[in-house]
Amino acid sequence: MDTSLFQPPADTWRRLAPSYANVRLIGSLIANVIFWGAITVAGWLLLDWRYGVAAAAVGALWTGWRAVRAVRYARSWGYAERGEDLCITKGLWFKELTVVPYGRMQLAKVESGPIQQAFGLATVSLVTASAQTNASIPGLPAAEAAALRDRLIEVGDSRGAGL
Amino acid sequence: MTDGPESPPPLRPPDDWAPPSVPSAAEPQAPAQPVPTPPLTGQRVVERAHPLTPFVRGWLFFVAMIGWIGKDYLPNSSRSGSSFEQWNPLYIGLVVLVIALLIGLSGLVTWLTTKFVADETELSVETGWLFRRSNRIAYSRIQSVDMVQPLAARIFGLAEVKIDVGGEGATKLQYLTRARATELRDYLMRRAHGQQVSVAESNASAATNVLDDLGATDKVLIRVPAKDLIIGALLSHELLFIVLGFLLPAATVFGVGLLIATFTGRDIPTANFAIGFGLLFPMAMAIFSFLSKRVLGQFNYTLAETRAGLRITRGLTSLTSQTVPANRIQSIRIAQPILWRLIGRSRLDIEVLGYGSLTGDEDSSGTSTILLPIGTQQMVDTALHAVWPGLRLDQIQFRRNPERSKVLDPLTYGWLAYGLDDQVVVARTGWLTRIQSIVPHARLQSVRVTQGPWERKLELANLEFHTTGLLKRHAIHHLDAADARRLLFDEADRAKTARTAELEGAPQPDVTLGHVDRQGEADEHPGRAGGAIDSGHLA
Repeated sequence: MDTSLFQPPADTWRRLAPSYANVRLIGSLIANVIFWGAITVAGWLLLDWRYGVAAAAVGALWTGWRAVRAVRYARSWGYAERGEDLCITKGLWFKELTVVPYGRMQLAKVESGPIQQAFGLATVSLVTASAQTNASIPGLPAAEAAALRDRLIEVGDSRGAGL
Repeated sequence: MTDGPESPPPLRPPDDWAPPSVPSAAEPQAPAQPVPTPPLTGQRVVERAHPLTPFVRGWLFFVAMIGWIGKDYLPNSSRSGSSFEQWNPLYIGLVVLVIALLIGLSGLVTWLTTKFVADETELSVETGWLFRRSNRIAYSRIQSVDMVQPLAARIFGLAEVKIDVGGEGATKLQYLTRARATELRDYLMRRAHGQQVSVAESNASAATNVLDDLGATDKVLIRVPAKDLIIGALLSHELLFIVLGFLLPAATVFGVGLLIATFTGRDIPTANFAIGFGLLFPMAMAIFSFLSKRVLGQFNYTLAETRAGLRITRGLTSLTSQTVPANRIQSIRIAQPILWRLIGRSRLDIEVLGYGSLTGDEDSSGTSTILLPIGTQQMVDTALHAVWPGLRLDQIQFRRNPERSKVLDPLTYGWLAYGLDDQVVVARTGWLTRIQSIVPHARLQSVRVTQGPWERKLELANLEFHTTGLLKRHAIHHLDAADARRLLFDEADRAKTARTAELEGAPQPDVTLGHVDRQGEADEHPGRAGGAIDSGHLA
C-alpha cells in the first residue's frame, strides 16, 4: 500500500483536537441509535419479537463498527500550510487531499454545532468561488479556530482577487 | 456619488422620482411618441420601458383568451353544453373587457413605476408601486449582458436586456426598442470592461438586421448551417432515447401478438397490431417536434467578432443575442456524443458565473452555456481561438493513463489522458460522450487528489480541478499516484503564478487568455518559466 500520496507537504500534518473524536463518536451514536431503534421497534411491533431482536443485534454490530470508524475518521483529518496554500486531508477508505491557494478565498467562517460547542470546538471553513472546494477544518479549539480564521482573512486579503 | 455636489445620497430614490400615478413632467422622453433618446455618454440618463411593454408581457393571455372564447363560436363546434353559447355575448364581452382592463391597469402601473437610471458608476432599476424595489448594478460587477427577443417582442421590434452580475438571478430590462437595447447592451459591455467610452461615437448597430444582431463592422466567424443542426440532432442521445422510448413498448406489444399468433395458429390479434404500429405515429410526431425545436432554437447560429467582444446570435422565432465575456470564462468543455464521432462534430460549452450550470435544453431562448452547438474540428478551433487566442490545444502533448488503469476503465482507457501547457490544463474523460475539459491555471479555485481503496491497490489516483463548478466536475481519472501528487502541488503553484501574472500584467483582468489583441504576449508571460518544468513532466 502506497501512502506517500497523502504525506504532509511540509514536515507534518496538524491534527484536530483529540476531543473531536468524541464529537464524531457522539454524533454517530445518536444517528445510529435512532435509526436502528426505530427499525427494532417497527420489527417488534409489526412483525414479530424475533425480528426486533435480530434488528437490534445487527444494529448493535453496525453501531459499534461506525463508532470505531468515527473515531478513526476524526483522526484522519489533517491540515497544513504550504507557502500560500492551505492543505487539508481526510478520509479512511476514500482519502482526499485538497490544496486551496489563499488568494482564492472569498470568505472564511467559523461555525460550531451543539456537540462541538459542548467540547469547546469549532469548524473553520474557507469558502472559494467554487462550491466543490469544500475546504473546512472541524474540531479546532474555539480560540485556535478564531485565530486561524483571522490569519486566513489576513493572508487572503493581501493576495486578493478570487475570480 | 460622482454626479457632483447636487447629486442625491446613493440610497435615496433619485430626486426626479415621480409619484407612480402622475407621469413626471421633467421626464426627458415622453412615453407615447418616439423622441430621440439621449446617447449614453456616462451622464445620468433616466429611461422608461417602451409603452408597448404591458401588452407584450400580457400577449399570451390575450391570445389564450381569444382562442378560448373564439373556439366556441366556430361553426360546427363539436363541443356543446358547457360553453359560452348559452351566455349573452354582452356579458362575455364585459367580462373579457374587465379582465383586460385589470391586466392593462396593472401593466400600466408597472410600466409607470419602472425606471432605468444609468449614471456614471451604476445602473439602477426602480420598480414597484406598493413594494418598491431598487436594484443597483455597479458596472464593474457586470458578468455578462445579453439581449433576448421573444416572439411577441420581436413582432413589435422590442427587446429585453438581461444583465448578469453572478450572484442572484439576472436583472431584466423589459422591454426597450431594439435599437435602444443594442445601444444599452454595448454601453454596459464597454463599462463592464472598464472603458469610459460613450457608445454614440462608436455605435455600429445601425446595420443590424432582423435575423441576427450584427453591426457593419462585425466579422462573422462561424455560421452553423441548419443541415448540421438536423444531423447533430438525429445523431444525439436525446433522439435515441425518444426512439427507444417508443420502439421498446411497440416491439413488446407486437412481439406478444406474434407469440399468441404462433401458438394459436391464427392471425396476430388486431389490438396488438394496432397498438404496435399505432405507437409509430406519436413517435414520428415526437421526433418531428424535437427536431423542429432544435432547429428553431439554434437557427442561424452565428458567432461573430464585434467591438464589444464575441457575440452569439441564434433563434428563428425568438432571437437571443449573447455577448461572451471572454475574460470571465472559467473553463471550456468540448463534448462529443458517441454518434458524433462518425461525423467528426463536437459541441463547445463555456463556464461563466451567472450562466448557470451546463445547458441541457438546447432549444430554449435566452442565455446558455453553449459556445458552439455543433461544429467540425475546424469550427471548434476557430471558436477556441476567438475566445482564448493564447490557447494552443493542438500543441499540447497528452499523457495517457498507465496501463494498469485498464482494470478500472476498460471502456474509456483509450481516451483518458491529460495534458498541460503554461496556461491551461486539459483533462479527457467520458465514454458515451467524450469530454475534454480545458481549465486555465489562472482560473483554478482549488485542486484535490482523491483515492479510493481500489485505486490505492493499483497506485492510481484522481485529480480534481475546481473552478466555479457550473459545468460538470473537471477531473483527471486514474493517473499514476506519484504523478498526481506532483501535479497537485505544481498546479497549485501554477494557479498562483498565472493569477498573479494576470493581475499585474495589465489594467484589464484578461491578460493571458482574454479576448484582446495582443501579439507575442504569450512569449513574455512570466508563467513561461514554469513551461520547462511542464515539458519535463510530459517527456
